[in-house]
Amino acid sequence: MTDPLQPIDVTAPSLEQAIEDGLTQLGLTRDDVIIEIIEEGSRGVLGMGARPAVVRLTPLKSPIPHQASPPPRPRQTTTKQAPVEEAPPTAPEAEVDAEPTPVRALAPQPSPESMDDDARVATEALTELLSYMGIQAEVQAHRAEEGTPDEDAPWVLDVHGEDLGILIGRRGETLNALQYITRLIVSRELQRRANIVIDVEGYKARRETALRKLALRMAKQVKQVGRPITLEPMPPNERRIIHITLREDKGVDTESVGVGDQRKVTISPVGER
Amino acid sequence: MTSKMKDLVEFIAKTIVDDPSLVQVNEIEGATSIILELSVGPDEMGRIIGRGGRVANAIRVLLRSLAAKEGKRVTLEIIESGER
Repeated sequence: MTDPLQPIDVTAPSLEQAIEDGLTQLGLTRDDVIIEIIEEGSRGVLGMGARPAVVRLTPLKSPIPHQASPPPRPRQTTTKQAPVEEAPPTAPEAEVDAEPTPVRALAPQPSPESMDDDARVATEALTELLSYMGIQAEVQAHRAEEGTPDEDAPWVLDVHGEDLGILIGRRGETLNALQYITRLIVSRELQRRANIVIDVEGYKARRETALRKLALRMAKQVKQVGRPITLEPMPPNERRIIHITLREDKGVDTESVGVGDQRKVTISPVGER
Repeated sequence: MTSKMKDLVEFIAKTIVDDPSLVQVNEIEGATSIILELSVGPDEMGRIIGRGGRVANAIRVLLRSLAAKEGKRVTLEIIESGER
């Protein structure tokens, strides 16, 4: 075997079929690969011009022989019920009700202490959410490497545990929802925007590295072939990584097309459109 | 396991509304589907639904990931309670 993280190309009558076949070949789930659409394929118009779909799957991790999709039998027998019925977790209701706190006196620069609040409150909220979801996992907070000029580096809450694929979801959908809800709870408690990011088993970090590589490789291909390539649909943060990675490349343009969760990045050679 | 979904919805709702005492979750479980009826106080629908439905949708995504474990479908209904 060569490099286990080698991309593979799969051809099948339909896009969905090609992806499924590829995943089966690799023994991975959708979350573990980057799916590039090489050829959309088409059933053809009136039976003419049908073309097979071609996708390239780039594994984000070595194929491991774990059951790709959860088997029908519930495996969580050990995790009976997390102790849930203790004191109602919403203690701060009194304060929240008492004074809506017109937060006009917003500190322009969050002080280091207030940043610790972000991490602490967010860790609590996330841990609580996870226990309500019946997931046993550990939450560790650390600072992201760097912030932007006008904002401190966010806190990254990394969730560690077993069988956390359920927390990532298709294309990170569940992870995004979890982050959104956690931010909501934290900003409600702190009465300001919560500067936090949630990651599960380094998923986002891995994904970012893979997306950068993908962007560079696709840009090269676009320039060679002289035709635009459209990537699979991605959430905003992932599209952003593609755009930023190729911003400096004068040979290609990137653009997001499509609506809602079907938005995808098209990389086109400059001069094409 | 299914009561987890109810607890999860209740926890999130109570945390983000103004009046947690008016939050109530009713669970109707069928063989293949689960319906969760979340009722909140008057004027709090907006908080639960969120701009463009973002909050409600995020809750639904979390519920779906739990329901998938059991091979069920889950529906979240949001109801405004308590005429004033």
